[in-house]
Amino acid sequence: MKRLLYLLIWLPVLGSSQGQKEIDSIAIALIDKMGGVLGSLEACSFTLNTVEDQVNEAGMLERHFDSHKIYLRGPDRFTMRSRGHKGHRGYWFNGSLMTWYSFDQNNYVTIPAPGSIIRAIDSVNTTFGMQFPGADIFYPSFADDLLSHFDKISYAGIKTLDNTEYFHIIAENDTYNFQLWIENGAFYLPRKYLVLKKGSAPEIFEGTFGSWNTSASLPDEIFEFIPPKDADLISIMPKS
Amino acid sequence: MKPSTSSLLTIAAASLLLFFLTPFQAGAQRLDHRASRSQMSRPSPQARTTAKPAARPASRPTTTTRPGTSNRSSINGGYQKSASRDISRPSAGQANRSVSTSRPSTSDRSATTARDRASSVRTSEVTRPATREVTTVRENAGNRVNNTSNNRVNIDNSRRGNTNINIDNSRTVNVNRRNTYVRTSPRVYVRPPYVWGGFHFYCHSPYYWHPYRPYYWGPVWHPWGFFVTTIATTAIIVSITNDSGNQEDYHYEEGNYYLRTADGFEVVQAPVGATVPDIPDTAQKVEVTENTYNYYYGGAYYEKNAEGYTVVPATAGTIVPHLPEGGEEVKVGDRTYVKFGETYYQPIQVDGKDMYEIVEVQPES
Repeated sequence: MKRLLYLLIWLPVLGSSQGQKEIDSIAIALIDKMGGVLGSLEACSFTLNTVEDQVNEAGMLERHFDSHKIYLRGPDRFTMRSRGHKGHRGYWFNGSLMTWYSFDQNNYVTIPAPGSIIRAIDSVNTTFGMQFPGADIFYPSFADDLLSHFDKISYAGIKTLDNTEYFHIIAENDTYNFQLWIENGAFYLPRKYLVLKKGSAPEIFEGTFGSWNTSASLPDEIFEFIPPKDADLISIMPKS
Repeated sequence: MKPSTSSLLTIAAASLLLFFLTPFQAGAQRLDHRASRSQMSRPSPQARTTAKPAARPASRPTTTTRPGTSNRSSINGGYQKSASRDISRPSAGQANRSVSTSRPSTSDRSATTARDRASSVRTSEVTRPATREVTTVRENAGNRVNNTSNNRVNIDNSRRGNTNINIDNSRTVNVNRRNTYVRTSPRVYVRPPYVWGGFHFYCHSPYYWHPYRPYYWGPVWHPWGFFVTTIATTAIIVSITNDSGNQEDYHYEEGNYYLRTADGFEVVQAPVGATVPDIPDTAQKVEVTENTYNYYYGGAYYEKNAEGYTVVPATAGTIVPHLPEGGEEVKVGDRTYVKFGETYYQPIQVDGKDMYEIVEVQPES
């Protein structure tokens, strides 16, 4: 009995010692550098090709591909066109309203959203489950987000991808493995990310950025959604 | 006082539980952004001023953001990083380092303009299923409806309709007169449910989206909300006691149910529990289970019995070829259902034909 008592008392202590963090300052400095560049951009556009491996209804791991074209203009304009396994769809955010439109179904959802890009996408993601691939990297405290939730963050060296050099960063905790490739160039732009969910139901999310334009001139009009002919405004059920 | 072994055990077990109940939560997008959110959720820029520095407790962490990173026109409000990072040693307090006195801007001139413009823009309705209990239908129940056995049927022959059916529903439990709730499917679901918003959406058939195009059951059928000043003398009156205990007189004719208004009559959904002597020939026989069938006409489900046809609630798993007007398309995660009251229809395809299956919606347990 006494032994059991000692074990119960010491288990949490032993557990927390396993949770000690190993943080590589080079990795954090690289992420900060990238974050600083992204945070200084007033407008940009880029493409993002994503791959998702998720368990399907039959219990099998199924791979999905999507491609996105994204336009951002600070502080509160955003639009994205996506094609892939979820069909052809678009998002428009004009500073107060977020619209999701399905080109395939010719219907759309328009909901009020807070007045900045990150707040808006964070809000509709939390409330309605709308996914904005690659958005993680644009969060204003991205390095702090990683530091908060990953036990290990390391710099894995320079890797070559498509004849270009990238800084490779790996972060890991019990549940997730996150990898990021940052361009070894003047702008330190993100090139690729990978999120691996570990466990019995593994999931993989991978995104590859391309066609960066960091000095894009983006007019207001592209962020305004105009319902096409016969498009239906439909209701939406919140995620939580 | 010396703690007992049992109380020590309780404390130890509680601390164990607390320790293991702090999982990593993938919140927004794919990763967790608690640090960023703490920046974003901070008060308005006015609070950022140093007007009252003395009011701050001396023990408050001084984790100010480095100057010069905030940018009002930035795509993300400017990059934020905690100045208190100490990554040279393992940290227990990493989560606190994001407490910052700097934060992304929350307002701008253009947003005001957009808001003004937005005031005339229609927005989507946010909806979720009701968490009411559903009734059950028994396998091989045939076409019996459980509220007919003790009903008084009072036929008034004074009108040509000859039928004034007065249904006593005092023995009926949980009746929604608007025919918008669903009885559970008597068949076992093989497919896993679609999970969203704390609900499980069960269907026997796979989801296959096709556009919702309201169907019209010929010239004699009228959609809900259709208004007429007079109705044919052949209409019969069906009296139903509603959920509030009040009696409502429906006028029934050729598959249409009318309620009297100040100026005339308005077509409404068929009231559950109503029994009518006949339904139009174009009513379709739809399978509820292997041995049980309903008749489907104008969005209403009927069970045949000795008195005629009784309006019954929809049964989950039933497949229908068409839906009437009055449905509402709802985006539920990646799917789009058509909703009538509390009845969700999943678009499906059967032998190449677009159809709908009634969804069984269950709250996540």
